[in-house]
Amino acid sequence: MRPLALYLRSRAVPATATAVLVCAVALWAIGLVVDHPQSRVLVALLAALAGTAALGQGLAGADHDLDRASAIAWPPRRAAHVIVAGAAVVGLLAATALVGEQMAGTGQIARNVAGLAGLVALGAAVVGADRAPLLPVIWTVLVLRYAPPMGEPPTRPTYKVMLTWMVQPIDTRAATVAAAILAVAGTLSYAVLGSRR
Amino acid sequence: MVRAVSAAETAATTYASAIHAEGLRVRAGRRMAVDGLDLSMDTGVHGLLGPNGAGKTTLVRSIATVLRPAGGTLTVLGEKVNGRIDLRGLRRQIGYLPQEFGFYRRFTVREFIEYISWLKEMPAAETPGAVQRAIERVGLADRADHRMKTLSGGMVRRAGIAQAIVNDPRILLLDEPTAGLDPDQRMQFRALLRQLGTDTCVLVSTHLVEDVAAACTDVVLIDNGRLVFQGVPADLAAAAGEDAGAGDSAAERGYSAILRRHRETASSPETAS
Amino acid sequence: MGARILRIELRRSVALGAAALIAAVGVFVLFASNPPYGFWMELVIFQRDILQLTWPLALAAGAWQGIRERRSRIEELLATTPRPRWQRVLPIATAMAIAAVAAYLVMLAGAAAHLRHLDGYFSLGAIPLIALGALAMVGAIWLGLAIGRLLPSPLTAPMLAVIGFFSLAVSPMIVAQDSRDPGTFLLFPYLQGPRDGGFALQMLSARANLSQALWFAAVAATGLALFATSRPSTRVAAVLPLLLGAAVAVPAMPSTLSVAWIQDRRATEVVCTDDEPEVCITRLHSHALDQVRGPARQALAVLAAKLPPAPTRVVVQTADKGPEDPQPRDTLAVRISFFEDGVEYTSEDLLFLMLIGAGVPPCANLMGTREKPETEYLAARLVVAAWLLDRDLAAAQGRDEGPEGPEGPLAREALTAVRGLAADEQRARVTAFRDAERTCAEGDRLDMLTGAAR
Repeated sequence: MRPLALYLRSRAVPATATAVLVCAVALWAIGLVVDHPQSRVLVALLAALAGTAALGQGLAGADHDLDRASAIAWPPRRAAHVIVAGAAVVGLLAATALVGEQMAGTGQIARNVAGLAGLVALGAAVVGADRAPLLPVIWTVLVLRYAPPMGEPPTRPTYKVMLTWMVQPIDTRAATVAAAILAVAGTLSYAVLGSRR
Repeated sequence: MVRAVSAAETAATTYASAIHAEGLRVRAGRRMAVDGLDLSMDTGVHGLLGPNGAGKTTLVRSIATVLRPAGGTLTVLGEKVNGRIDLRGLRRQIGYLPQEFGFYRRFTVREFIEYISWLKEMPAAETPGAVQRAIERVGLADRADHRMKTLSGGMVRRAGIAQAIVNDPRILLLDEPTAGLDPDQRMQFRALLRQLGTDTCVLVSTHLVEDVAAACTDVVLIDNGRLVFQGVPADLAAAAGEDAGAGDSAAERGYSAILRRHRETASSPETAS
Repeated sequence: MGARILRIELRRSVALGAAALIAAVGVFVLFASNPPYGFWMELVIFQRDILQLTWPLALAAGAWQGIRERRSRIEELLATTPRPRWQRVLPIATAMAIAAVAAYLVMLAGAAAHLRHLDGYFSLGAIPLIALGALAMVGAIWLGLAIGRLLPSPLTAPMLAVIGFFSLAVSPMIVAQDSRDPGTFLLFPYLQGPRDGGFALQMLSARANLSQALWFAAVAATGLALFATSRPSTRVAAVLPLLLGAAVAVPAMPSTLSVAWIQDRRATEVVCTDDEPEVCITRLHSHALDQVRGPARQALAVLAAKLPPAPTRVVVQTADKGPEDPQPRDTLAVRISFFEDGVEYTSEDLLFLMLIGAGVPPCANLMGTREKPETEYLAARLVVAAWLLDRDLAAAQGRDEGPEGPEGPLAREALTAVRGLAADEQRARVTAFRDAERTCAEGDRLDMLTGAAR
């Protein structure tokens, strides 16, 4: 257990967990105020974004070279880090259902967290862990014009549906595929490359 | 090398010594890292020695006005540091290389040193010349326009020394300046120290006893926050005497001998001569 | 010396990179979410509207820069330097402010490529809107600097982007719960355009602009002060501008948004050609003067030849002025709603459009209702245009009103009927039609043309 605890601490997991927890509580609190069903979906999306953006910091250790040089097999561990962290965020956000009506379906939360976490991991591999949230934040911001209640998500052509995956209804196949591609691509590239320094 | 001398500098020579501490107590976190230190230093190069945790860095930080003394008196350039609110005048005359030297990675060496000289409120007209001179003195002229993040560890250290001397300080505090320097650079650095020591009070905290023996005019040894020994390097070497202390050179043997003797009598307060 | 440091900070801080990123995001949204803008004012208002996206990004950029001292572990060294903190942070705050303003203006310049008429009317009312947008960005970036400095964690910047965006998206719903469009909407950095959608013809009242300027300046001042102070005690004082700004600006705000938006009178004034016969057009559409000049004079010539006494000047008006008053006889008045939908008209099209109804705008009182549409009335107006031009209706191109509309078949039938009359009778009937149109007299226009001949 102890190596795991140390690893978690080295990756700022306590701070991240606090941030995600705050998001979940805020989500729950806002859920008490906002009852417009569409804005509730928006709230859930933004909570997922905040929760995954918080993961970015944990994707790199304090010292890049020290991490590189250590004898651990990094790729599986990195992949596990992303998967476990993503699952934890999903769990926390979904858990708000226990204390009140859920903001969005668990499926929707899971899809969005998976895609966004994949983007964060991709960001860590491409622009470095501390700048990793740029990718999901900017993508989401660009797409939010199509999010209810500010607009309607496009239903065709397919590329537009895929580009706006995070605001699509849960039964949209193309959106699920897009999120899955991002999740896999992000996790794989981060597992293989690690965080850019 | 001619250093710029301002009117304020030449006027303020009424004090006895550049740095003077009496019963100085400084806290580092919860621990009293400097605990009843008496010390007096003037122009020259002072090597600050001591084992890990002796309070060297805490002492340097308190002289650099980062930490406020918790007790006793600390007088720097004739100004009492305790409880003073306005340290601006004093800080203009201090150069400081922290143990953990932070810098803006995207700045070039020249830009960073220019930035620090601006923070030290140097006259704008003198700045470009002073920056160039400081860079040349540490031998970084060929890397002056490279980004800080591209420098190697030793070069970063030299950039740190350059920013500390850019304002021609009267008090120069260097906390482990030689870490990461190659042998050749260390020789150059010692020469630089000797040159600076002619008109500046330089305090060099280090673990490298041979640096002290080679470049310092004065050795200060502290342990557990107290002064153990102060004297010229020759005294340090002589202190070993017949005692076959651990070490490869006379100075190192003297260092370990003094420390051992001090610790044997640690129960009773001792001030070295 | 400060200038040298400012130059270093501009080159080495995140300022310019963040500005480029924000401008790129903004230009993308300005391009992607709308068809080309018809008028400058539409673009300017929409750029203020998307501050909902760019404002939180600027906030995050500020926070990213605000944690630099901590991230670089340089605080120890800085603590020993004599220059006071507020002086030390001035260059970086200035650099970031320059970046914020630059991002806003570059965004506007980039999106100007998405304007249909770059040389179109630029309302003076747009200038405060642009300036206040830039000021809001400066406020965001300074506030970000302060928050980054107070919460120096790598999480701060991304969290601020999300939280900032979120509060801007959700808070209007909370503010607007009791009344529809309270004036306190003006406290938000983004701006909602006038509800009736007539963006191009409106501007914010001076009062709305001033109170908003005061509030934005207060936010920016507090951000800067929080960033620049070094002691917790002075930090409390830093919040003072915010409180003062709120105390003055909130009561000064217009009570509702609909009061805040006022008509831009200059936009609806007409500008005319220097030479005779005079052709005039509203200033809003003045970029089209060259385009309408030819067809307008042609229309006058057609009327002079076929239906004297003809008008001697042409006025192209904006669409919202439907006349009920008698129309002056010497003026051919044209409504130009057809300029706004982005369709390019040929001179032939314009000529036809100008002669619909013999050059008299349709009377508002003759427009039908949902139950009984004005099909017959519009058909009669089309018949007159085709008669004047000796043209078939199939060949004539009118867009929203014309042969393709529901009135088309009816008009074609009526045109044949009119042409079956004696030439003198034809002219007499069309002249009577025009006189009736000028006074907006009640009566069946189609019957007036075809009457017994039908």
